[in-house]
Amino acid sequence: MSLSAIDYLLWAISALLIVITCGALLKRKLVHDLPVFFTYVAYHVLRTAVLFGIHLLHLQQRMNYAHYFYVYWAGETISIVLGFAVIYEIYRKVFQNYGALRQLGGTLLGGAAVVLLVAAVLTAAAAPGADGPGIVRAVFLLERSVRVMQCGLLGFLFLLAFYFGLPWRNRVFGIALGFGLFASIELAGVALRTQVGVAASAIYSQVASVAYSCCVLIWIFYLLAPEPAPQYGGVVLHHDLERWNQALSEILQR
Amino acid sequence: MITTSLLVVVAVVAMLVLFYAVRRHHFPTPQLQALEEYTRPVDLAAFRNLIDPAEEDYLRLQLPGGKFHALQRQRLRVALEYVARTNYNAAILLRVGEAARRHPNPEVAAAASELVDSALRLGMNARLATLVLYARIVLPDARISVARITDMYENLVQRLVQLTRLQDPACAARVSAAV
Repeated sequence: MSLSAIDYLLWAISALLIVITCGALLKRKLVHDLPVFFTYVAYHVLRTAVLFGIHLLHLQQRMNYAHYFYVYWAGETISIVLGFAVIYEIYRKVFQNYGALRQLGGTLLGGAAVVLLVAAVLTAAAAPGADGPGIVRAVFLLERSVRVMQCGLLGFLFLLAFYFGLPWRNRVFGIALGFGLFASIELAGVALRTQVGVAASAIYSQVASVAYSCCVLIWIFYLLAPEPAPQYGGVVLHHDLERWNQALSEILQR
Repeated sequence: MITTSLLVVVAVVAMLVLFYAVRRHHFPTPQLQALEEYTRPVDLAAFRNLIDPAEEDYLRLQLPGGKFHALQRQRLRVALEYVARTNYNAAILLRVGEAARRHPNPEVAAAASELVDSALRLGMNARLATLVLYARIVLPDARISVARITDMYENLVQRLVQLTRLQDPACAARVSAAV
C-alpha cells in the first residue's frame, strides 16, 4: 500500500480534526448530553491511531497489507453501527420534548429504515459493480448500501422535522448536518467507485477523506459555537423585575 | 449505470435537503413585539363562515346546482388559503413557544408549553384539513367538515395572548391582532 504526499496530508488533517472534535465535546461538557456521538468520535480517534500504527509497521515490513485491510474494514463495520446509533440519538434529541410525536416519528423513521434497507439490497443486486467477485466488491457494496440508508434516514429525519415544524438545537443540528453531508458525498463517491472499479480507487479515497474532514469541520464549528441565548420573545419580565426588586430590598434591609 | 446515476441523484437531493435545512435553521425566532412582521393575519369570522356547514346548506338551497358547485369551489379555495395561513402562523408560534419554554419563570414556561402543544396540534390538523379541502373541491357535495380547525386556531391565539400577557402585557392586543 503506497500513499502519496496528498494522502498523508489528508490523513493528518482528518486525524487532527477528529481529535479537536473530541476535545470540543469534552470542553463543552457534552459527553453526558450526547453519549453516543462522543463514543463515535472517541472511537474514530482510537481507530485513526491504530490504523496509523499498523501503517507504520507495514512500512517497516513488520506487518503486511492484509493486516491493515482487515483491521480497516472490521473497524469500518463498528463505525457503521455507531453511525446508525448516532442517527438514533439525533432523532431522540429532535423529538425529546414531544411525547406523542416521538412515537409517530419513531414509527415513520422505522418504516423508512425498512424501505431503505430493501432499496439498498435491491441496488446491490441490480448493480454489483466493476470489481470482480470477492471481498473488495462485497465491502464496497456494503459501504454503498450503508450510505444509501444513512442518507435516506437523515434526509427523512430532516423532512420529518420540517413537516412537524420542530426546531433543532444548534449542536444537534450541526451533528446531523455534518453527518448528512458526509453520507451524501460518500454515497455519490462510492456509487461511482463501484461503477468504475479499481481505476477510481485513489481519487475515491481522497474525495472520501476531504468529505470526512468537511463533516468534522462542521461538527467543530457547531460544537464550539456558543448555543444562542434563549430569545424568550418578550421584554424584561415585570414579574422578574418585581422579584429582583424584592430580593434587593431584603438584602438592603439586612 | 442507471443504478449509479440514480444513487448520485439521491446524494444530490440529500445535499439540497441539507442546504434547505441550513437556511431554515438560521431563521431568527420572532420577537413578540414584532410578531406582525412574521405572521399572516387570519380573519377568523370570515374563515368560519367559509367552512360553516349551515352556511353551505343555505347556499345549496338557494342556488341552482351548477352555480352552487362553482361558488362552493371558490369558497373552498379561499378556505384553503386560510388553512395555509393558520398552518404558517402555527409554525411561527411554535418557534416563539419553543424559545419561551426555556424561560426561568415557570409560569411563562408552562404557558409556552401549552402554546407549543397547541401549535403542533393545529399544524397536524391543518395538513389534514388541506387534504380534505382539496378532496371537497373535486367533490363539492361531499360532507366532510373541517370546522374544528377554526376552534383550534382560536385556542392557539388564546394561548399566545396568555403567554404575551405574562411577558409583555402592553403588546397583548397587538399580538392578538397580528394573527
